[in-house]
Amino acid sequence: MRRGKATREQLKRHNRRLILRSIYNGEADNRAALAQATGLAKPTVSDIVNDLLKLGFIIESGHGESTTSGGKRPRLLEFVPTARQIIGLAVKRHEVVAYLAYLDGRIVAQHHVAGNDGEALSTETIFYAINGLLAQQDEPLLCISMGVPGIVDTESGTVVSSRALGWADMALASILQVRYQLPVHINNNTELAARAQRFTRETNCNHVTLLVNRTVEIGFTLGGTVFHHGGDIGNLPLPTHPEHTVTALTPEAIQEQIDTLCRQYPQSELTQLAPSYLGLRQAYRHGDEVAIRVVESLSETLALLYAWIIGLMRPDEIALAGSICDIGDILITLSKKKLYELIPQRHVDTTQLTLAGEDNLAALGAIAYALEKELGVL
Amino acid sequence: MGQIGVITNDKRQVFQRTVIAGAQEIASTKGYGVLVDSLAEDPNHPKPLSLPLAQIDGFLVLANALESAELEQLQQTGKPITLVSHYELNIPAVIPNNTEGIRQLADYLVNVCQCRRFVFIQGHMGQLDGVERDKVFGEALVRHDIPIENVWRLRGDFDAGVAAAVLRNFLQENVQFDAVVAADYLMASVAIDILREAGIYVPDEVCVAGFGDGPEAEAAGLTTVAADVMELGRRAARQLFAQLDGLAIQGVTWLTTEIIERETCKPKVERWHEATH
Repeated sequence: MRRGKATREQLKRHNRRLILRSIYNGEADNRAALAQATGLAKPTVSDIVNDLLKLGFIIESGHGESTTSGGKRPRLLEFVPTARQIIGLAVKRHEVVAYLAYLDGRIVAQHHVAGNDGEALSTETIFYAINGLLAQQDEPLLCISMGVPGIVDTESGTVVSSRALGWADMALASILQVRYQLPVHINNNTELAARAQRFTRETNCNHVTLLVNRTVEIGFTLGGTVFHHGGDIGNLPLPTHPEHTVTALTPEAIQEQIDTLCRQYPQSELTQLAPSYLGLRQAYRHGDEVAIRVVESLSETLALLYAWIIGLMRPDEIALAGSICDIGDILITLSKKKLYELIPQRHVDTTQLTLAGEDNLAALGAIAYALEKELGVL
Repeated sequence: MGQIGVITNDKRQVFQRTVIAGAQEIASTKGYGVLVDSLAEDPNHPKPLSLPLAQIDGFLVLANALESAELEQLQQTGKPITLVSHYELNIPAVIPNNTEGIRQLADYLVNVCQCRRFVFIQGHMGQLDGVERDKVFGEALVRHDIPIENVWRLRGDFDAGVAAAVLRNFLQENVQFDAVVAADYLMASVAIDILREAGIYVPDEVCVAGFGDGPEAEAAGLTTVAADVMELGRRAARQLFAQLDGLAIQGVTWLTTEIIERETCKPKVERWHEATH
């Protein structure tokens, strides 16, 4: 009996998502058109539309034109982006970034909480960030959606392992559901970053996102569908320098390299600048020897990564994300040059290498993920 | 009836009075009164804190009205505090998103108006907003590969009088520039007057823009990037009331900003066209 009931509920949920998606995407704007677009029976459409009207997700917004055969003018239906709000978070190694957004993705406020210096991030820090935005909510919350670095079981909302956070088998979704009495969705940061990018591109393209923060993570969209087993590749050794890993791209590794080179070139302007990718860019443009060496070494590492990815899957685009993008187009230009030495030019040229400027793609992707999981839209 | 306390330097200033109005709006819906302590209406003779602390349920502290030691003392009352446009001692805060706003402004001036030589009028460098806007503006120009030699920083102190005097002096140096950006809209508004006094056409020769928005900016036709200041007051009060309701909050809430295009900035092609016809 329980099984039968669950199936009916699942079916109802599925049909509701079909209807909502058709309205959200502008495929149909009245009951008859919805029946045609979804293949559902008119009474079923009518029941679901009435439910959605009651819940406030849609409104009736006047009358459309009557059909050529005459008859009553249809009542037009419109999605209401302000019906609910979503909290989307990206948990990083030392901070949590959270967005409060309406259902059309419009951001109302952000909340940032830094973890304690030198300590692994605690779940308390996540609570502070969510509480910070609960204080600002204008409409009822639809759900909480979150990205974390590491491997995630998205079905159960468990963080299976996160090297960056030092977490293993953390039932994060359950902890938050109990605390906030809301649906909670958890996913990997880079997969969410890829998801955020997917919505600005052709839906059927093969797209790879490389996210460089304190580690290096990878996310894929294949033929418009997000591939669920990306994640942290920071441990991969570099074939040219097996004692190093791809974390050579991270700020900590670069700083180490800069410190070593600055002992050799004490006149470098990088000895005076606060450590940042932006400082590196500035010094590079001034022809600083240390900056030139570091950027070239970064391009080499990046070219190796690009070569593996292009060799394996020939994507349409590889987007580099995270603060490393502050180095600018020169990083792509140099990497491409080195890439030509590694794989045939015709393979390189079919893949676009880009910089994703947005800092918090994972938090934006968390909002997109919430819309997909809860409403079936996007 | 409960009371919240607002601690500010000078409640008569446009920014402060607008934030307080926003906070009062939220407080009244919650059935709370608002007591304002305006400490430095005479900046040369600041007054000590005079709020009846025992009768206050929570505090909003605007900008840098209190020194760190005084904030620590306030923390010792055990009552919730929200800082507005300021962040320290791990006290929760609500701040306009300086990073987003200043980046938007720099992107707009470089990409749309095609400006390349910038005068930046700084805010008060003892305040977080002043420091952040200055830092982020410099970084945004590095991202556009604008050489550091093409940026002149002038002291403004978030004081239109100081900004006017410093800009007047600077103009005597006959430096070529095509944009003036100020860390707040009041300094930007006065910059328009000073440039016009000197016979410089705004925006045909020089674009002018500022951070924040208010009636003065609108009256001056000033292009700004802003988080609504009244909304800043409302959001800060909401954070304080959430703490009073028992929500544990740490960190900073940043309010979204957007470019408000008015008459003091124009795309280069339009500026060129109008200046030559």
